[in-house]
Amino acid sequence: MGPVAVDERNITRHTVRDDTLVINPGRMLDNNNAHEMVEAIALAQVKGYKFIIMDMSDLEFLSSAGVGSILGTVETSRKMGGDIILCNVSDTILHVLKVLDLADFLTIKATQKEALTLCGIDS
Amino acid sequence: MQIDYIDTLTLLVPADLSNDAMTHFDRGLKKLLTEDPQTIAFDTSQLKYVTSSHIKLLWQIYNICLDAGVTMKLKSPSPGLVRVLKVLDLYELLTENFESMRPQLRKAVRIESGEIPPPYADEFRADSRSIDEALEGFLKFLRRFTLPEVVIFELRTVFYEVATNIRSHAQMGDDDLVVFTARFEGSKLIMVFADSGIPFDQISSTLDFDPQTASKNGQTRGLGLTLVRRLTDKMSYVRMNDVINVLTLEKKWGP
Repeated sequence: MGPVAVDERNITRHTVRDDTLVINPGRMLDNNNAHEMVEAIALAQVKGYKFIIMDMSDLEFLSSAGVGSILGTVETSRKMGGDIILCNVSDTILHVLKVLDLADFLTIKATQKEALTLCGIDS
Repeated sequence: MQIDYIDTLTLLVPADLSNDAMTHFDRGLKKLLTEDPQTIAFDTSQLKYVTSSHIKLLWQIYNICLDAGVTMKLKSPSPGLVRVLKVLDLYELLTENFESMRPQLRKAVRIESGEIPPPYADEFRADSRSIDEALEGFLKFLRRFTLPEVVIFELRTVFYEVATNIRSHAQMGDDDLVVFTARFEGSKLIMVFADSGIPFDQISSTLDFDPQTASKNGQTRGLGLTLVRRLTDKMSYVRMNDVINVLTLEKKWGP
């Protein structure tokens, strides 16, 4: 599946390897689409994607429900030997994660390239 | 409606806010305004039980009077109404009288000159779209001032989390409104949310949050209260007259 144009709350995803999926949450990840994110991640995990890279380059607002969609699913990925890796996180989004003491708990990389490297993929 | 011409023009504020009653009230108000009065007294004696819709009406009356250059007075406000208005920080604004006019006027001059930012007030339904629209309005208000971007983001987050919690838990009807006010006090913003939903104390519901535990439990909900508590400096909740939930939040920034 190829990437799709970014909409305000449009979650897009594309496979980079059999076990690695990149998800872009769009501009907003809040109560309106957090359940879709949970479903998207859970479906990917069922399909065997160990690594899920969440590219937040377009993300302008992350609500607690959006945070919950990541926090509530990351344990499954880690049990599979993988992880949910956040990248291109803006200062304000990072601030929210820090306020919730999640900046160290979640795996965060500066760029998608660094996230892919962590998954053993050289782009 | 009663119109009293003895010493000042008086208009009765109806407890019933049906379309007919409101049309009648609007006509009465327009008629009084054509007489170019200095002061109109709004008789609130019938407002024994105050809902957010009544607060909205009083706020609209205040703005109409302000635009018309007319002083608004509240006549016979019930203790319940006084309490609600005080909590919403609207009491002094809506109850001008000769004794309190001087500080009010001084405050008005300071607002006019930009020395004090004007207060902000809005009301919205507790549905997704209305919350988004109300949030946009609040952001426009905030962007009129030179606030640090991170503070604006925090205030946006607080507004969104509180409003969506009201939506999720207060069980409000389709026509019920959330009343929101915000005012600056130096480098501090006081935000008040008032709704007529079921009793819902967002403060006592707040639980400690631990990322490890939350993750192991697959927790996807309930982080909003933690976020609000950590992004604000003070929170208080009161249930007024067993009708209105009033949540007050204080956010400071700077030294």
